[in-house]
Amino acid sequence: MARLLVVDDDKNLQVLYKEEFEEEGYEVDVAGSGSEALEIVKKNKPDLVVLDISMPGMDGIEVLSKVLAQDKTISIILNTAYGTYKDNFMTWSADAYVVKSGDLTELKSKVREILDKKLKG
Amino acid sequence: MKESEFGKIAGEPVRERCRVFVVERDADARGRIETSLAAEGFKVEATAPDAGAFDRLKAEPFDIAVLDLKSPVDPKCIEICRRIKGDPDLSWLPVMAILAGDGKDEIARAFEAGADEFVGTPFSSGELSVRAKVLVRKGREERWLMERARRLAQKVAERDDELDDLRRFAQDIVSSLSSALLVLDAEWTILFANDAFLKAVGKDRREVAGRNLADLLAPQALKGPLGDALNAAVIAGRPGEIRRAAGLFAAAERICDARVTPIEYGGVRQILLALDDVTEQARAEEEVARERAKLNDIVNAMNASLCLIGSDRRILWQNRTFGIWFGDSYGQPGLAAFRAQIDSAGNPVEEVLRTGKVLRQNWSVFTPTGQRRFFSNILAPIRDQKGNPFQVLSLTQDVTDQETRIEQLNLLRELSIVLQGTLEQDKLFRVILICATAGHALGFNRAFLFTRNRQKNTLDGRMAVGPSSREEAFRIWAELSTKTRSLHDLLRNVESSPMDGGPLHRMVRELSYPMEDPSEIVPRTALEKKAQLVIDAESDPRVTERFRRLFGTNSFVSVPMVAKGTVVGVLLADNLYSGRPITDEHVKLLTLFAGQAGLAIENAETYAELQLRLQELKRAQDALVHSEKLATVGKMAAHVAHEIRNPLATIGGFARTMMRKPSNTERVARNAKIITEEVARLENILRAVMDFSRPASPNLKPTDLNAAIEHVCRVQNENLLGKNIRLFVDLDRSLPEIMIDETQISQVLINLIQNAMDSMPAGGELSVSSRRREEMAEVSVKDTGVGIPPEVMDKIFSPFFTTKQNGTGLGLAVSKKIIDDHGGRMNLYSEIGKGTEFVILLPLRGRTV
Repeated sequence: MARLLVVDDDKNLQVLYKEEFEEEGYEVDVAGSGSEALEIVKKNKPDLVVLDISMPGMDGIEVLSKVLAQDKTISIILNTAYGTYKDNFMTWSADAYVVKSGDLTELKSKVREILDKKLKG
Repeated sequence: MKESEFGKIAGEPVRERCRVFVVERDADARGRIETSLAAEGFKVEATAPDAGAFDRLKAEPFDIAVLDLKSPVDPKCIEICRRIKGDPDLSWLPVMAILAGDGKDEIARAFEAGADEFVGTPFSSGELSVRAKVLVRKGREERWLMERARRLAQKVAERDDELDDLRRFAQDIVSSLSSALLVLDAEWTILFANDAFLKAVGKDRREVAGRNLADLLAPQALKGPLGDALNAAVIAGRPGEIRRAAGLFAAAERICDARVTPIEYGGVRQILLALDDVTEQARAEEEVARERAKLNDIVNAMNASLCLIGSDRRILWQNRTFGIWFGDSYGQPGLAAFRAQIDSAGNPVEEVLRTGKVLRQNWSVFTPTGQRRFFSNILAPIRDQKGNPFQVLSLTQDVTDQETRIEQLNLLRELSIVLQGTLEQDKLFRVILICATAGHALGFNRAFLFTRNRQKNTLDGRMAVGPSSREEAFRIWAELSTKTRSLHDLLRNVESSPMDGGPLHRMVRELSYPMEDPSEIVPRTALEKKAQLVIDAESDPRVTERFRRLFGTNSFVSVPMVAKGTVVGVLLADNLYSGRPITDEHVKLLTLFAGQAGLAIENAETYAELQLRLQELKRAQDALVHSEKLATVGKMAAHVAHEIRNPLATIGGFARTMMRKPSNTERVARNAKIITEEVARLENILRAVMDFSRPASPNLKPTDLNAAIEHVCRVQNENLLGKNIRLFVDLDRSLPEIMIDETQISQVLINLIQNAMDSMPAGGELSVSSRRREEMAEVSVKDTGVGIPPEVMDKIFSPFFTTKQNGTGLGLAVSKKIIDDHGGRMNLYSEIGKGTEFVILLPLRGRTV
């Protein structure tokens, strides 16, 4: 069973993502900040991280590079309110970029797509 | 005749007194005579005719002599008789001759010898004594008469001597008189002339006596007033006097005073003529008069007014200039101003009289034609013969020219300062026009300013100053004479007094002359770059009918204002109301002045252009600011998008869950709660955005800052207590009310307190204090919280920067904006782990909106 880590400083979103992805059959960890996320990555070795960019303290881009520095195999989906971050070259190292939305269909399909590719690969 | 009768005749009894001296050669006869006379009471002394007989007779007082003159006569007796009668002392003594008979020869001889009576021998004794008695009586009478005659003669002789003295005295006087003295008869014939006259005509007494006066004087001498006076004296008996008659004497050019006095002498009218040679006095007087006239001419001609002032401060004498100045030229105000000096509080006249020192005064007056004249008075004491000051001489000089020159220099100096320092065009125009009209350096009645409009190539009327009517002019002058403001004062007031835009100003504002039109004097001035002085506009071909009608002036001057070789405008000035002639000097000065003004206008134009550029720059900057604002908005939009996306995603997500699984009531309830929370969050964001973006210029009102702080603290205290935070408030009660928007400042305080609360999750202390710091009010909000990391210090006031879970990042940005809008500052001091202090500084004298 694939293991996901959702990083978002928004508590309610954490709850939403956790429930939705668990329903999809993933094991889901949530982190409210970058540092918390790095600890969980180290501890639980998630297959995929859904990462919010705009966060107090360490932002998503920084978390992204640190996660990748730890483990390059971890897939990362940037999930943010900003469309502009697409222009930051760091985001290129992410596997996908999904704009936050009340409809989680896109995010869910991207997660599945990436994990499928990973399992096949 | 009885004895008693005889005695009466003699005055005394003859008998006792009568002594008879008898000379008889015949002793017998002598005896007889002696006897018969003695018998009659005579006291007789008888002697022969001897040598001593006469001497005895003379030595003793005899009353009668009886002499023997009988023929042949004794010569000695004859001799005695003759001697008696020849002797003045004895001639009265009666002599009785004794004759031999009564022969006629004998008698004649006796009388011839001087005998008074005779008796012929023989005679009776009675006859002898009677005759003797008669003779004695006659002799006594004669003796008394003789005595009297002698005394009278003596008296007359004495009188004669006195008269002689008097005559000599008078003659001495008359001849020693320097005046020529003449006595004339009615025909002017000279009856008498004194030495002085003789000397004057160069003749001696004989040549003059009996001559007519007319022959001795110069031919025309009596044709004039002297002749008239002589006639008046002759005919009417009227005395006369002629002063300073010239040409009386042929010899020399002498000048005489003549006095004609009619006199009566022996019932005949005569004339006393006195001629005083006053040539020397007359010449001296003439000299004095000439000198005085010369002095008078000088005094009158000198360009200074002189007057003599008595100790009662009355003007006793004045020279012509004084009359001209204070009588005609400057009229009542001039004299009043002069009097004011003399009557001034220090009583200068009294001071000069007391101290004997010269006093100087400076004063000025506004003439009825609005000119200001400056005077300098010198009050000097005039001393009497004892050297005591008793009058004051006032010398007044018109120093207007000097003053004017000083003023002109000052004007140019002040101008260069004021003009170069004046960059606003309107103010500059006013300064130029005031300089041209106010003060007495230029002191024109009216002045008009035209500037060049480079776009249209015209000269446009910009501004005018001056009274719009004669009445106004006089009112202003009257006002000026009471408060003489210096140019400096006038210029200082330029800013404070707004341009009233009188009719003159409105008229000139409508004028615009094409630059290339030399038919009008204004563009001509600019084209020729030369001052145009018009004395008589009516006949001057340079002046158009239109101009005359508009300006209504017959004499004016128009000067170009040039800067760096280019005409920037034209200045036109006249003396419409005072009619003061415009001199070359005025033109020169105005030209000089216009040069300065031209430079200043050029400066102002450059400045105006600079202003224009600056405005363009400002517009560019505004655009830039606007675009930056847009950028901020974009940034904000991104933030808002971010901030909104989270709650939207949350709401959307949970809503979908609810839709999918509506039966799970527990889930639905929880999700609904979450959704509600998220909606509230959205509203929060919306409010923050609204707060930031609304155009909030502060509504400044005098506010007690301390009261506002206390109010916020009271409201927040409950929240603070809930978070275990202790609040300390320390306010400086001496703070005055300041101009702030209380709502906005309260919002800042709430934001800061909120931040402080957030930084002390485990509780702590919050200190809010106020105090005065120089010209600012300082409010400090200090916490004991976690502090702000140095790396975020510079971002902390940026919009949407936040360290908080649920912060909008707008609180401090909004707070800073509010403080900026108040003209204040916000400072931040923070140390990690120890706490943060926000310090707000607000100006005590708040911005006036």
